[in-house]
Amino acid sequence: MKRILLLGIVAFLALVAFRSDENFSVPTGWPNPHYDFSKNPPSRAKIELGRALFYDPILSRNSTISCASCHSQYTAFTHVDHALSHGIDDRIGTRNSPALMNLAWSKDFMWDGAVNHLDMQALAPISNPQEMDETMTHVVHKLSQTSLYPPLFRAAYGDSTITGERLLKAMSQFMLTLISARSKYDSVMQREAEFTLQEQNGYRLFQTKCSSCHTEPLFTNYQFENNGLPLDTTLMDYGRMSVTKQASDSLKFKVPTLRNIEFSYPYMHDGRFKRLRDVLMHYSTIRQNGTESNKLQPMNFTSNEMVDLTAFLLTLTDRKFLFDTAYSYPKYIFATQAKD
Amino acid sequence: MTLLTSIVVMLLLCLSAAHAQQERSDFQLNFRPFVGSVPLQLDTIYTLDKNQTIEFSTLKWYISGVELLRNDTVFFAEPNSYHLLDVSDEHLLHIPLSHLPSGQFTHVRFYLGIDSATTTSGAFGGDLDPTRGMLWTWQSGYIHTKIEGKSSRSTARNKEFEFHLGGYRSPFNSLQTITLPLPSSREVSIKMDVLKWINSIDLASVHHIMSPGEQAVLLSQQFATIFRVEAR
Ligand code: HEC
Ligand code: HEC
Repeated sequence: MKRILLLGIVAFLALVAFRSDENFSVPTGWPNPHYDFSKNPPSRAKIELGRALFYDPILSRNSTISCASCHSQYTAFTHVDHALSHGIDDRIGTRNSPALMNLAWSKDFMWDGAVNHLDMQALAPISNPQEMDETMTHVVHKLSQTSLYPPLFRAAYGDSTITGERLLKAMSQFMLTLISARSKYDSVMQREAEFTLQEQNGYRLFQTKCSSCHTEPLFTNYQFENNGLPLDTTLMDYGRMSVTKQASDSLKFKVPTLRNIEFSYPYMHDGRFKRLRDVLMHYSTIRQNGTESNKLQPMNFTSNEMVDLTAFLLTLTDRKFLFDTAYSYPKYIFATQAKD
Repeated sequence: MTLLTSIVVMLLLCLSAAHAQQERSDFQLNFRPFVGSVPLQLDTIYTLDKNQTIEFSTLKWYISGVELLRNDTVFFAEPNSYHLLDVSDEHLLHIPLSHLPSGQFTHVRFYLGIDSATTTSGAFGGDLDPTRGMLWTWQSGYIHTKIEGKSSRSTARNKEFEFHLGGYRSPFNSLQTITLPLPSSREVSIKMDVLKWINSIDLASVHHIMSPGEQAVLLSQQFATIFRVEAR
């Protein structure tokens, strides 16, 4: 009984602590995050270790590509200008890299939800699917041979042992700090700013036509939906169905956030649209493709409505996020690195 | 920081209180893979009927959630119970259990594989560490059983076969629960006739399973039937 009580207190303290911690706090009006911080308590040293790893090409097989190569801060951590991300891995080449932000609220990762936890995400790009069992081990080995990483692991974990678990959890910690909640939209919601008339009209349209999937405040309902895109027959990507093997999941993809949408082009899982206008044209002219969501309504936007909607979508741009130096290449860490 | 310290202190108190109640007592499970009646060794060619051959290069499997039962009730549940067994090293074929309460137990029960709650809870260390090579990457999940080798019966390139069996999402959850009766001794050998399992597969048509699905479930179910407590 006493034990249960004590555990209860511990759990309660953990909860209170992690709604607002010096390293992680939940923006006003947002739901509780999905990520379980009690299993990976945030600390500055771990976040900075994760940040170094995120920017270090040492994680790739031939030390040429870092996470940031495909997830660049200035485009909300997506791949600049590439419809299909280019890299070391065949599989990567079939999808557009998603923008990375507000990941603590996400339950599933990848466009089809093939990854079930943020900690597991880094395994995918780090490892090659054909030879997965040696690569992670090799990365850990490479890191332990540097002069840079053992001290960073010691600062983060108390001793310099490098393990797969520690590496993945540190990377999660950095990614969890990527919170975008300082857009004009947010200021309006907190009554610190006002929409223009155009933005206001766009917001109203958005709430009737788009919010059922792109639900505020995170602009996603975290479900897998079919938004009516026809199958690209050169890619044959059926989305969620490849994970669940259920026909009813055919052509369903994870609903992406629309925050910073101005910068995260090209759009959709395969980057098929270059401009927001193309996206709105798509929603305006959806044709049946079999399993499309019943949340999709006939839209037939007029050109004025498209202008209004676009004006609203641009209020989701968060320049403070895009230029926050806490997320950028950690020069101060790499500057101390002896050439090895 | 003071918050953290008090949490740690409280946790330590809980742990030491729990510890004091338990008596020290030991029990060990030893896993012994065989090819028919011969102990299995890696990279050794075994000749079967009709001049067929078989050879294993990898044989690893997870045992988790180990519980000792007294008839139908749980007598002891190993905390944090995750074990990667690996034929490449004799030391990796034993599961010692310590701090058992005193008394008799009649059965052992364990999972073959890693349960879905653990699988969806992020990264872990020890036997679950991602460097152990037992995680898929593009699609999350542990490989519950990894068996690789060559056989004259395989029609694949170089006569290879590769079975990475796993899957935690229904309907392709391949986790198996195994319950075995125990003799009264404090050390028990569990014999696994891997040949019996491989004989249930038509290697001419099925020689590579690398992702979750119907076949992974079927082969996992069959693998679960080869665990036998060795009569002394
Ligand atoms: C070669 C390009 C490339 C590299 C390098 C890369 N990624 Fe990605 N990333 C992608 C693509 C493409 C996707 C989407 C893949 C899919 O859905 O199948 C993705 C998805 C993700 C997601 C899921 C986001 C979501 O909301 O579902 C996260 C998180 C992520 N990457 C983090 C990382 C980390 C951490 C690294 C470094 C270890 C990394 N990425 C390296 C291209 C890349
Ligand atoms: C039925 C649910 C649903 C509705 C309703 C919906 N969307 Fe989407 N939206 C999605 C899904 C799912 C995707 C990703 C599809 C893909 O990549 O295959 C998406 C993608 C997008 C993208 C691209 C995001 C990116 O990062 O690539 C934009 C922009 C977008 N939607 C805007 C809108 C707007 C504006 C509306 C209202 C006019 C709307 N959506 C209505 C489900 C929906």
